[in-house]
Amino acid sequence: MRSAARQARRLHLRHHLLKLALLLAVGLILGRALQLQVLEGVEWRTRAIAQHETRVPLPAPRGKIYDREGRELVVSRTTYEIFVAPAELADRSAAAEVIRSVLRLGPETTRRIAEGKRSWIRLPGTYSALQKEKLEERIPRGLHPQPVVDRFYPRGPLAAEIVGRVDFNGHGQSGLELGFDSVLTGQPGFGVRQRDATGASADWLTVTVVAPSPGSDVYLTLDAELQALAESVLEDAVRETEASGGDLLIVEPKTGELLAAASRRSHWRLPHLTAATEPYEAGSTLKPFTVAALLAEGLADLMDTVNTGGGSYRTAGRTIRDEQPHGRLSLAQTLAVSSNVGMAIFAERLPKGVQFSYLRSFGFGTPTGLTYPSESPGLLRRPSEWSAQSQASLAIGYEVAVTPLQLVMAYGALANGGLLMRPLLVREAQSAEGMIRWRRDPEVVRRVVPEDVAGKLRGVLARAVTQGTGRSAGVRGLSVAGKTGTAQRFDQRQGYSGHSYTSSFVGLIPSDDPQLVILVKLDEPSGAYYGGATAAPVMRTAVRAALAGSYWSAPPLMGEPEIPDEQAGVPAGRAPAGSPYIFALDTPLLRAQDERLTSQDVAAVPDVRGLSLRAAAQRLHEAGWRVVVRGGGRAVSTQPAVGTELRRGERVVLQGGDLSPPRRPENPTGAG
Amino acid sequence: MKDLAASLAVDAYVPAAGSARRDAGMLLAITVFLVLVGLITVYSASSFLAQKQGLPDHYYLRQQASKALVGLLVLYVLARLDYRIYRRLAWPLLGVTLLALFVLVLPGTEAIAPPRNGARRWLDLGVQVQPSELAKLVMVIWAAALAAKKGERLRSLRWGLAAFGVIYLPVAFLIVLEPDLSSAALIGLLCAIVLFTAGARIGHFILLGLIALPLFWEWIQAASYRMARLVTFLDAGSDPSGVGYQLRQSLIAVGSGGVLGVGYGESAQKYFFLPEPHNDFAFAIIAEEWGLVGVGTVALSVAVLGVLGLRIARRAPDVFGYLLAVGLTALIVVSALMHMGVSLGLLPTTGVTFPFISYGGSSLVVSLAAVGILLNVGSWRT
Repeated sequence: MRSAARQARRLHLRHHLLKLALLLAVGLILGRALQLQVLEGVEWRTRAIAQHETRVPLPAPRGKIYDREGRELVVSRTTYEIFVAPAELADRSAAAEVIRSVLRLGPETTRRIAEGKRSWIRLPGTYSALQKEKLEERIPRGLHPQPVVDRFYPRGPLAAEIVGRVDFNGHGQSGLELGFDSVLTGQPGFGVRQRDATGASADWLTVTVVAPSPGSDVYLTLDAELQALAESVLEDAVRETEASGGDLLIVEPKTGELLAAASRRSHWRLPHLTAATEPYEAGSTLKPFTVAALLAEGLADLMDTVNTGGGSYRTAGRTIRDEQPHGRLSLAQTLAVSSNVGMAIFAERLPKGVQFSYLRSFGFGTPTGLTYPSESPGLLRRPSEWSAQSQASLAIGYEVAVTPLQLVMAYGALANGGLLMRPLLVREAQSAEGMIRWRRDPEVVRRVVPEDVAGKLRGVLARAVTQGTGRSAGVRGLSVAGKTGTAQRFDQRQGYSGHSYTSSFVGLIPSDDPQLVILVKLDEPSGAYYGGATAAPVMRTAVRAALAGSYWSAPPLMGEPEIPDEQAGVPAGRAPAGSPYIFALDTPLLRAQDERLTSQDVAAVPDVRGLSLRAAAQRLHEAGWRVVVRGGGRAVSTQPAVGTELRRGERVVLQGGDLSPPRRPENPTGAG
Repeated sequence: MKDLAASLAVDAYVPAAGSARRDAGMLLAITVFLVLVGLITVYSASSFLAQKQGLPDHYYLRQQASKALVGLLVLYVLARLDYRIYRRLAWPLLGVTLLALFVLVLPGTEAIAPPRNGARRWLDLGVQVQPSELAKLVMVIWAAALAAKKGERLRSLRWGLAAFGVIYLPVAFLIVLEPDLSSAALIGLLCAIVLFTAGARIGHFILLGLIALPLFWEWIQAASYRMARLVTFLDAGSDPSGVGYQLRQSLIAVGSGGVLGVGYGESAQKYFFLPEPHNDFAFAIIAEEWGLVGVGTVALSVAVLGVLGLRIARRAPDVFGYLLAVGLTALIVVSALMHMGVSLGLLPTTGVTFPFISYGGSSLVVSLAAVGILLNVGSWRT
């Protein structure tokens, strides 16, 4: 009985021990859960997120590059790399067939998909959003598209050397893509995507955390159509003259804006704009700047004469020659006929330092400050380094290396009344929200010569075109001032070669109030190598074509350079548009330079209705009238009407069928 | 036997009138609640898996629901079946169980005992049956019957533990061969609890433990993955990617649940981070989706269920009823505690089902059957 009582007590105790153990165990579990979920909760949650979520980069579209008129030169488009997970496909062979037919892929890739041995297959190439959607419509599961932002060039390789290229990662590699990389580059965002333990992720679980912010758009000063024209004209010229290369620049002298900049080499594609990076000895095209120095310093007058004798002049142990003897020449004539001898004699009047400082002042030997990643300063030695021959050499454009860009800007100073402008290639950069992120307004570097000196030189240069070496640059109905240059090329082995030349021409149009400065340079043209025989006609072609086209709307005609009021940081409207005219050159274009275009010359306005405005304008212009274009599309009427007898030089208004309002009210200071 | 019943009734606690009915009602309510929690959890944890397998998302839910209905039917029947019948049925039931376990390990029986994931745990008799689940129930019944019969003699080594060992060891051996180490261990533990409750000597348990340890040790070492599991359990942070994976994933699931959980159906760990999220790690999913609130609710339900089971046991009309009720309560509660312990990293990672909650028909039906028998024990007046 005692043992039974002990047994009962024992059992009783054990019952309670069981209960205690149960409660302890549950308490332990709750305590552990408290520790994991509350005390260490954040830590575990962090680990959970780390393994459940993958950061998905959301690429930001790179900014676009526009021309001055807002025409797209470079845009970004999103394409897709497509990955296939065969294991997720409902029907592998059917999916492979769809992929093959939609994307037109070869049998190799589709075979791999159908086999399904590999868990992850990347389809070769990138695909458009449309292709991607088509595919996703028919294959609901197993496709994993990855957006890729790449660059697209709506106008092909237009201005390729200027805009440059991006590398594989979408970063600027050359040109403005490189120079404006930080502006063009957007801020990529990221999303978070849930993934499972196999690494597969579910698109429907992707959440955008930080939205990508697109890069800013860059507006160039270039005019796409003028650029296209410049490129094709240069291309043709290089081919026809069998030149090894060439450059063509079109600049608005009053603002310093580059409207077109083309560089070509016959045998290879250029990595950059050689007009800014490759200096050369410009020869005669540099003569006006020594003349400008003489005039500005009052050391000579245009009427001063020197005797150039039989076309050769010996100075400092070197003989300087002209192509033909000119006898006694005034300074103006010296420049117009481009007499080397005359220039050498006149240059002796200049102290070395003065000659140097004027050339330096015109921008030679220093970078222009173009917003372009690379630029050569050229070479202009200090007087202390000069030899006895240097002064004469510099006067005729040797012993100095200049870039075409420097040269065109120096001519710009002659064109605009004596101000050296900073060359502009990029006008502004606007963020996607319309904020100005970068802006460059026309900037005067310095006054180089007084206005009257510039005016005198323009007069002489105009004469150079009508009478002198640049005759073939003359454009009917348009007064052109300009200067040719034919420089012997220096060769490392042979020194100055008698066979190799650089032919160049710089033109100011119209000559009395130049709106444009055009530089054409051809390297090693074969055949008629003189500047007047090669470069100048190129320029004529360029100007003719330009005048006939609608691309002329951009440069504001008369008056102040257009500078919008908006300040940086304030939302701006579109880039300033030009006048409504096709021809900004609606000033008296027809000068008495061409005797055939005198007052008695009267003709009936031809029927240009139905022609494109461009063709119609060209036709009217060739007939000798000034043309103002209203509207767009095709020509529907002229004013005066078709058949009206009209003196050449008068104005004809050409009305287009598209009556969209002009982008700007008529320039009050414009049409005469 | 009267002494025992009397000694238990002498307890300071005297159940109030009608409390037995109330306990039974509560037990049933908690059971049904846990079954519902199970269905909800199984759906959340398995829908993704089902879809990946090309099945409708509610495939596993429907399977579990139909088993739950079968289980509730079994519960109803057994609640009305006099529990004393199991005293006589203990041996025959044991025989059937041994036969079933034997079939699993026999060569040439793959047709009805197909291997799955490298283990043969299921008998395919039209419905899938897991004999080791049945063995848990049968061994509890058998242990209770034997202990009740032996009475005082249980305290002798020869007539007590040794006799149990004779039966337990073959059963455990067969189960280990499947292999299903954790079930064998659990059955041993359940039998031990029954014997402990019945008054077996503590010294015998210690002796048994000392004998079992090297056996298990050798066996554990033989299977290197089990070794790795144990080692990583002892030092969970040492291996971020290898064998500690399951444990770490479970802890991440539990820990990331926080206080309120990530929300129903929002578990991220079920996306294959946790193996068998609807089964071996169902509790981890609950902890993740419902947080500490869910953990507390489930754990307390288990605690209440255990207390109710012990109370029913104490009111049992005889020693067999008492031991049977304790054993059945332990069957449910110990499984649940082990499952939770594994999920929380308190126990080595091993596959233990959570009664009522984990996916799996055998476990569910057996657990409900256990509750049915418990209810019958509780329905008898002393």
